[in-house]
Amino acid sequence: MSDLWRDTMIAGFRDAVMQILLVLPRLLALITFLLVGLTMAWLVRALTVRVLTAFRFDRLCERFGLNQPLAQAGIKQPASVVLSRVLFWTVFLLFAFMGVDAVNLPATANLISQIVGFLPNVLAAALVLLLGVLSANFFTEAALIAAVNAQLQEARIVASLVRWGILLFTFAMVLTQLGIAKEIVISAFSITFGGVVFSLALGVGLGIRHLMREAIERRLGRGKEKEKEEKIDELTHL
Amino acid sequence: MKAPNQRFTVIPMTDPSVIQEPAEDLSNQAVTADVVVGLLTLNNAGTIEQVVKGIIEGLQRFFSDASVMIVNYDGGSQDGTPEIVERLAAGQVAIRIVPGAVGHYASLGTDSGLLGRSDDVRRLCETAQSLQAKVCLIIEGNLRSLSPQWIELLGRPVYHDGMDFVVPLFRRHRYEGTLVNNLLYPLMRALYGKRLRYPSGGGYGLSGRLARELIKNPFWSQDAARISFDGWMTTVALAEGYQVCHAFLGVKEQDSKLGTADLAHVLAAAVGAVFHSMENYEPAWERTHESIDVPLYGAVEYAPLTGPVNIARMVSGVRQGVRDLLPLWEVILSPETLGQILTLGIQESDEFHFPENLWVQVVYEFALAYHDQVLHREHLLKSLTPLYLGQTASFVLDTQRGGTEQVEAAVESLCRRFEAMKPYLTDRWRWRDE
Repeated sequence: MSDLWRDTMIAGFRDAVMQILLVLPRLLALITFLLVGLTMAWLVRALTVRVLTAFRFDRLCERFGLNQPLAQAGIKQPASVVLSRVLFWTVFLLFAFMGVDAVNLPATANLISQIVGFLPNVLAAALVLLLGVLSANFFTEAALIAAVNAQLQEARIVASLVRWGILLFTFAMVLTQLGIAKEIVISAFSITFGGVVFSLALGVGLGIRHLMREAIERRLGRGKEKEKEEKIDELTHL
Repeated sequence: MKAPNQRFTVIPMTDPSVIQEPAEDLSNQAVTADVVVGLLTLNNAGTIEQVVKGIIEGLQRFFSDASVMIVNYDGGSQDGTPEIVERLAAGQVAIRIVPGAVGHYASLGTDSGLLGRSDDVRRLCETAQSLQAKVCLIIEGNLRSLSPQWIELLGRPVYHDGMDFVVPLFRRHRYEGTLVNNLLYPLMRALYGKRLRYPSGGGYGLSGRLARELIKNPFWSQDAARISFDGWMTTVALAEGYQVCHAFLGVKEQDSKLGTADLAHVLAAAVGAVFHSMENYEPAWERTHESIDVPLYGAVEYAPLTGPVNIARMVSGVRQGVRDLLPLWEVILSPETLGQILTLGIQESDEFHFPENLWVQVVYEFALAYHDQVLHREHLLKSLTPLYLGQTASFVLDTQRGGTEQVEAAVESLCRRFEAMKPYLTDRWRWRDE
């Protein structure tokens, strides 16, 4: 009885030690990956800040109107800092995933290969998002200025419609690219976009039909007399 | 190669008298001309007969001792304009028809309304160089009021008096050219130190020297030359220290100008050309501290004001700008300037006043913002439109009870303010470059 108890204890202890000896290097590998990841991420962040500062990235972002949406999203730091932080966390997370993969837990098996496989989609989605935000800013600005110069009282509404139209389109493209609820996104986008176009058509048809008529008449040359009457200005600019 | 006993010298051409080939090929032939007239046309059948007759008569009357040539740069007319030019000039004066090499099409973005016009003028300058011309005249084909005297007034200062660039003045009423009076002229005068009005097209006189300078100018292909060729040519003449003068040509009537369709477009093109050239000629304008008069040929006359000026609409434009464009102006203007702009939004139409100092500050800060590229440049320039309308409204309100003299006095006062406040621009420009 006592021999059995002793053998069982020794076998249990030996198995436990063996398990620990097996896991310890993996834990060490995880810690090493985390430390290397931290160092690499810190280096990448520092390098990114230096390069972006040298290329006056913040001024470029200001010029392209990127700072405004960042501020609206509650991000007060310059775009170069934001980008360097994103890169910091990307590099660190990559190393962290490598570490987790090295531990070889059944729950996280093939984690890194799955992430690497999904990375092109994420990058494509990020690019689409960036281009979408840039386009939205550019065209919103253009629409606002054109509407103000035409003395259209609803200038800001026009600009907002342009902004949200482009952003809506962009978000739909991003979600489709990421494969998140693809069918729902496409359906929702089609319904929303169709609804907006229908509302606008209805609005144009009912609300501003007189304006449309005048515009068409002017285009056809019939409104010239009326235009002359309206033009009571002797001013020329050049 | 002049025929000695001819009163009016026609350059002997090989055969035929009308040659449809690129004018650059002239360099291969032993042909010279003292005066080259570049006629820029595009579907001008309605006006071209009077223009060509006026040019020929002007050349015969005022340049009888010179060898001359007309070079017609046509942008692809569909109404037979080149054929009319050819018919009218045949046997009278050497003529070359040069079809547009680049695809011309109407554009609201250029002050002539024609893209590719600068290329035509470049080829004209090259032709003038090949022909060793002393005088190079640029005439637009859509003029209805060209008289032979125009040729004299544009050509004589160059041919006899050693001028390099002749800018025409026309008979206008006091509120014609408000962008010139309130922005372009005061700014150019403060920058380059010559009291030369910003050109409004129609015709120019250039010396062979300036034509050669324009050809070799490295900035020809840039936006400034492409969008507002007239402004760019004037800037080159001023910044490079050429002799410039005015010639009063009388009434200017022309077929509708495409480029004046939209104020924001016109403003962006003309002001953009000046701002763009500021970067190229920084040393020239930084060392200029005062301005001098330029010679004037002819006596300036003004036309009476025949109709009302819609001030309420202009003031409404400023108000809307203050309401809607503030986020953009925050990026462009300093907080101090912006604070003063805000007060414009609450003024009554009848008592609207845009202080001179504030307007000068606005223009200089827009120039600095253009230099720094804080916004897309076209957006930046177009966002100046409501403020320009405000300045114009204030200008009209301040001068409407007086006559032309009061308008001229107001323009002079504004110009002096631009000159006095120039350190505001130069200091900040240098500081931002450091």
